[in-house]
Amino acid sequence: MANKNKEKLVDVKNLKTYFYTEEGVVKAVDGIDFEIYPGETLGIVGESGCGKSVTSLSIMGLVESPPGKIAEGEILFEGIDLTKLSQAEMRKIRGNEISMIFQEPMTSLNPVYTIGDQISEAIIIHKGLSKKEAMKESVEMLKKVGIPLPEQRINEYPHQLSGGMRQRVMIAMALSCDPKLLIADEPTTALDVTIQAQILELMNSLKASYGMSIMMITHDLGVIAEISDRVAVMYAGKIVEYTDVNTLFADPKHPYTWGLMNSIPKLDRDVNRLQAIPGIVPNPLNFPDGCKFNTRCPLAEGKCFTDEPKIVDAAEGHKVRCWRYKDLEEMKKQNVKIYEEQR
Amino acid sequence: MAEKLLEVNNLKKYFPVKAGIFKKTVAYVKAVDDVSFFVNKGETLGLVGESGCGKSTTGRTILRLLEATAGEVIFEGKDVLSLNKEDLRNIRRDMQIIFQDPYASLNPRMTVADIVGEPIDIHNLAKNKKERNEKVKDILERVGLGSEYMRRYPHEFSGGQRQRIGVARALAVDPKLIIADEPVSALDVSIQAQVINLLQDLQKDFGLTYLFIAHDLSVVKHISDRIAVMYLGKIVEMADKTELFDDPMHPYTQSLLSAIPEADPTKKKERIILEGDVPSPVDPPSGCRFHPRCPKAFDKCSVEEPVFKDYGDNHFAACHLLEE
Ligand SMILES: Nc1ncnc2c1ncn2[C@@H]1O[C@H](COP(=O)(O)OP(=O)(O)OP(=O)(O)O)[C@@H](O)[C@H]1O
Ligand SMILES: Nc1ncnc2c1ncn2[C@@H]1O[C@H](COP(=O)(O)OP(=O)(O)O)[C@@H](O)[C@H]1O
Ligand code: SF4
Ligand SMILES: [Mg+2]
Ligand SMILES: [Mg+2]
Repeated sequence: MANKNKEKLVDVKNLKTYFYTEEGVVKAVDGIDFEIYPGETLGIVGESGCGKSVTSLSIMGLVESPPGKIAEGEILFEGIDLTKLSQAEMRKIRGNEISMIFQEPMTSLNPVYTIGDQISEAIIIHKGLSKKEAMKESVEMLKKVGIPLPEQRINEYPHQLSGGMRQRVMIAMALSCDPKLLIADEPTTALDVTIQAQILELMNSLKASYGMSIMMITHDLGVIAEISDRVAVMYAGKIVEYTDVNTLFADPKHPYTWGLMNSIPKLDRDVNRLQAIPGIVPNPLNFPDGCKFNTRCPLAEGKCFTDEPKIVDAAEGHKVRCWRYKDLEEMKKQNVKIYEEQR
Repeated sequence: MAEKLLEVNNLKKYFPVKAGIFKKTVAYVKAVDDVSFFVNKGETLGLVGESGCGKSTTGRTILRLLEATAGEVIFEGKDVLSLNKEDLRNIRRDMQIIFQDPYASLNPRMTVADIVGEPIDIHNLAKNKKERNEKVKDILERVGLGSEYMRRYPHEFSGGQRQRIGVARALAVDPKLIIADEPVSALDVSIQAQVINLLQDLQKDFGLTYLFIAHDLSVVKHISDRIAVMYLGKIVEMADKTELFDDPMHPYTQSLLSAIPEADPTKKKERIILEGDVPSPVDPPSGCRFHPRCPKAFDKCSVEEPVFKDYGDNHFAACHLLEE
């Protein structure tokens, strides 16, 4: 890919974010590496509790501390290690260089201020405009994110807007300072499909016009396919597979990724039974030895139960964390259903 | 010819909106507004639509967890809405419900044995405690939970396991119809598949009929035989699932289907992006309720309400475009 020659915007190296709780240490993010190039969308996909949100909060410097702490690793943003910055320095980066939107926009909007006040405040802080200029700019931003009658809307309060509109307002706020990176944590999960389609289209078109990078966090493989250039699949605090979106869907190499893809119903293909991944995600306070997927993996054997696999290059630009990915390859060729149709 | 187990005719459920010191009714939320459909014995009818369109209200009104404003619900020939308390209790044995939220829908202070056993007690289906517990044990095993879980409380279970408990509770009285209101929406994808498979196995083994309410169209397509699409209190289209996906008639169905993100990056879908949001059910648009957002609306649409009718092979729809 052309990426090779580009400077990395974000370079996360061996990031470990732990929570030191009374019951023990929760290794929410346990040694992950990834990078984001300018203008690309990196998708992060995984089930609830696998560490997606903690990853994004770590980049934003918003991990609740205590009990949380970045225990190890670096987060390089344009070459500067964010983990070494002071609170004040981080505040400057947040909202200026990096913005974030959340799953439930209601919790991140202040219910007692009007939409206009909230967007213009962000603009005043980051662009140093006067109140009047900032209000004008707010109207422009609302227009850009497709809110009808923006002159009227700036005088309304968050509760007067629908979920889809609130998410648009969040996006407008996030973009008002021209960030280089937009982190979107499940931005469409609380929305209906037709509204989700509106928001995804909006994000794609804004990405094109602003040239920013997006880190898109979701549990929905459909959304991932729709919006990502490259994808990291997370399981139990680790990245288990990492490659470009087309390769991931055409040739998933990790048993977990393979399982996820087969466990969702497809619109264009009817099957009688879904191939479900058995069992449940292990408790983060009590992860198994060896590979963390071994409690659910149909390929698990010997070494999988004792030694944790490292993430390796299975092919160019395609990383996998599994002892047996080559065996899976063989099984896929022979059309073996690795997740049995158990009852 | 398929036999109808449940028939719903012109069902309405309006919730009063009250205001002022005298709590006068100033308006109505027309949550379900003249809805008709049927479910055949042994099949799964999927009921889809966006948040607030009236899916749950429809389900609850059928079971009389909410009292209907108007209409008819016929279950095995009996008019459910006019049953007295005693007959209603009896018929509830045949009609059970599973809820979306596996966290909120189970009493946190009851053990699993009591949660699953309660309906058995209510309907006097066991001679004594021992027989009741035997039954509970069997059902729990049937839904993939060992009997070692019987003495535990809901908070000790994962979301998927809690949903299994909910399913076990519904099954305990050996019902004919299960209304499943978003039973997998709150679950992770890998767990969703487990619960969907379970529901399908149980349907085969016990000859169950499902009304499956959901907003995830891929899931609904997988599990249903037929699908009904709701918009703002009305069913706008109903057909065999393959028919509905291959040849959607209603512009709302068309845009809804086009909006589904597919897990295939090579597919670039032609999207029909709808403008704006769903209007309020308190004051729904005139004529066809979809007209303010409909990309194909013409003059008639804002004036006259289209009739929901059969365009052949049980493919129902309500749209003026179809009447040429
Ligand atoms: N008890 C109630 N009082 C007043 N309005 C109600 C009540 N219950 C539901 N409604 C309204 O009725 C409409 C339909 O609600 P319902 O819960 O049936 O929607 P739904 O299709 O199940 O949505 P979701 O997908 O969010 O579960 C909504 O506008 C809702 O706000
Ligand atoms: N403030 C906290 N205190 C303790 N544990 C936490 C805290 N925040 C997150 N965790 C734990 O970290 C893990 C990853 O969480 P999170 O990143 O939120 O998952 P998700 O992938 O669903 O976004 C989970 O086990 C979660 O319980
Ligand atoms: S390392 Fe072993 S247990 Fe882990 S995913 Fe690979 S085969 Fe499965
Ligand atoms: Mg999260
Ligand atoms: Mg509902």
